[in-house]
Amino acid sequence: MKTISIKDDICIKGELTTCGSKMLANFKPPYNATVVDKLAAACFNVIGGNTMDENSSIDADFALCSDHAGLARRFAMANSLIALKPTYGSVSRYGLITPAPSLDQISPIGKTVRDVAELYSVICGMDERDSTTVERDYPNFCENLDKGIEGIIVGTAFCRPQQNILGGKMPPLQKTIPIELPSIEYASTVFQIIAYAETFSNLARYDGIKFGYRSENAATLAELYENTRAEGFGYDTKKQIITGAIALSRDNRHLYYDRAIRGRAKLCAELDNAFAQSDVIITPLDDSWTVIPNLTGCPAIAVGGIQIIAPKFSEELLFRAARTIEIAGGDSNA
Amino acid sequence: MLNPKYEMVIGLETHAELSTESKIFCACKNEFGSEVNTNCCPVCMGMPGSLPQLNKMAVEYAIMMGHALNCEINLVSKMDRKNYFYPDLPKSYQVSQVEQPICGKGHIDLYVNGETKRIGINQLHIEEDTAKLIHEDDATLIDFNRAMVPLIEIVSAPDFRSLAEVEAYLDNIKAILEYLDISDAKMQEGSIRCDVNVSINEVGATEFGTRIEVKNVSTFSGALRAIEYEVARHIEILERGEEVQSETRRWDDMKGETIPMRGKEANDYLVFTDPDFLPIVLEKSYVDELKTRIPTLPNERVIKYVTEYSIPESEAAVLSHSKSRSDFFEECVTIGNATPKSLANWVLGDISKIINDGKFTLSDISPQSIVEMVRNIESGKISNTAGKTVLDELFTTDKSVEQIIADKGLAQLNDTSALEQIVADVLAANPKTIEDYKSGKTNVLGFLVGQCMKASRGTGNPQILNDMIKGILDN
Ligand SMILES: [Zn+2]
Repeated sequence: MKTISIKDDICIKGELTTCGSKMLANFKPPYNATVVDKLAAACFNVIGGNTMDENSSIDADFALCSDHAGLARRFAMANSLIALKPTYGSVSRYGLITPAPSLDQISPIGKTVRDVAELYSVICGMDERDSTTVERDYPNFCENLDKGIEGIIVGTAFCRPQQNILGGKMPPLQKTIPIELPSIEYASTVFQIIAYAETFSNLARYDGIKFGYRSENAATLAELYENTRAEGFGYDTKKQIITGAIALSRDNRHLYYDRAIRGRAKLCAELDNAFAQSDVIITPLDDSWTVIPNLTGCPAIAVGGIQIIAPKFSEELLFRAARTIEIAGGDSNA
Repeated sequence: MLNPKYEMVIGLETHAELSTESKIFCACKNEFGSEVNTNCCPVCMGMPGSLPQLNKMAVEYAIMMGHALNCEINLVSKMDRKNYFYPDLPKSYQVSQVEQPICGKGHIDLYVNGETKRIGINQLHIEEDTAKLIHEDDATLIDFNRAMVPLIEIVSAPDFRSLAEVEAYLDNIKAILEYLDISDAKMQEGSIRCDVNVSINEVGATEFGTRIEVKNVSTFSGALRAIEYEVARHIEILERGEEVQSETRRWDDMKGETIPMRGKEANDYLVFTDPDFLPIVLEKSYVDELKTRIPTLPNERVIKYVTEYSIPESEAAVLSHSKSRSDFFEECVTIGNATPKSLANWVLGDISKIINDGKFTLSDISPQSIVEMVRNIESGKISNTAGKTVLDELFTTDKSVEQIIADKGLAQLNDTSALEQIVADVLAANPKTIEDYKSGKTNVLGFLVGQCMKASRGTGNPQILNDMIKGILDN
């Protein structure tokens, strides 16, 4: 039986699902996330409650983790693993405790491209419980892995196109062309404003009334809200919530939230334009390029220290490109 | 009540619960009166990781109401979040449609005080209801059965200038919801609620006065009283030479007064598009098909009844507000040969009385037999009183009107000789009344005619009886 580690923000019925937060320290969901049901049906042994960040590791062949702000891809890089940020709407978010619903997807992580493709084949698909999932044919993504990428045009988004990608192990690609997103320098800011606005709203339900942490020091309703949230959230979360509220407030939204939404649309158009010239794009995993797949909904895979992005629902091509790099990198255990 | 110097300007935001099988974003039953917290699930309790699923039936009902109010239907609309903290709001945001509602501008024509008045509709949208708070002495409890019950909110233009218009509007909205069978529309169960916007200005002024919003109005009479209260309060402020402050107030139905709720600056819902939904995209053919399902509505029927059938406005309103009664009436009118006015009298009077007793329904009688009965009255074959007997028989037996008249001997006695004995008996039994009549109280005549009608089991012609008694007493 294959064992899979699940991050502590994906609900497993009756098991502590804390998101590593004091706010949810006692939260046991009365339901499974859709991905957990799918894994159980595919005979995976599911181990929940794991922490996953750049400073942690897991003891399993497979893992699932929310890719908020590129977390899954960074975790994979730090642990020499491979992570896919799926096309938005291809994996159900039902049961994912997420701060930013329009940006986040559940990411499959594995030791090989084949592992990731296998895991993605299990968890993807339309779910009526998540309205943002898309109905379409999802093939078995393991089948065409080794077909190579002959004839594929690869865009490269490094500052210097001639830079020796992958320390000289760049595979023999048919054709590469340099790609630029004119607005890339704003990507990180755009991402933060939208993410924080959604965080402000999505975390508002932690008010000490129904579930999770409740402050003992409250005599009035206002104090219950204030003290529960002051005591239950960490510093960074509070900073994000407050920033998000400011970005959405009547007097400021035209300066922040509305502009971020326009910036997001612009980045989507620029990426579409890039995909008019290339089939996949290889990018660094820096702050700007990491959030591009989240902002645009496009799929991306972290492999061998770089990121490959493809148009929406092009996971099959993405896996083939990643497999090509995997082989060129000397990893042939798949 | 209103100082004639001023004019009131009213706008209404009316919320109605839709009577869908399930809630708006989850599969829980949408049912009033269940045991507390039995119709709830992770979604409607706002649990972490749960996601909403839009109920297509709620969308359909909203489109139908939009059609009924002549609204533009937006083929693309979206769901927004209104963020605020309150214990009855499980997610701490309410999902509503603020920026792109499902229905845009429309209007409703009302018949008020002898003329047709058009009230504009600014928008109509769907949203979720909140949970219900149950206040006890030392605790507040939450019942999640109501959380995520589907609501429509109908936002009117500030077009009302009198309480009568507001009343006609609310009555008609309620009646239309019943006609479309999309809401239980019972105000006492909170299935229709109102927020009221009130301002006043001097008659002839070019600008509206400062607007006050009154929330928490949960009865029709409450809405009218809240408006009356606010208008009086505004006039008093203005007459003191002061200015009305823009604010949100809450209606206290027990005390019959409004109290300030919160400052305007605190009233920022930090609205943004809810990322858990895709936009609602409608096929034009589907929207058009729904339009064909809209029956002739009560407000339209009132206008027809008053102008074409000469039925008084208040009766026309009562008649049209019940779809079953109004449909029955219209079937009778279509059959013809009886005046609509007397048909309306029967439907509103004795037929309604029998049905309200609860033993029978309209399906126990046929429009044909009612028309025949009324024709017999109008032609003078039977009296009005005999008609009531016929009606009772129509409800309880399968006999035709002809048969009932024959079996019961109800044919009107127009022959004075047949009535002479009855009149003589009645006069002999009421010497005191005769004295009263002779001393000038001529209105006792009606009593004597009634006694004769009773004695003849309704078969006497009241006009003939009247003349006969008068003839005897006056000589
Ligand atoms: Zn529910």
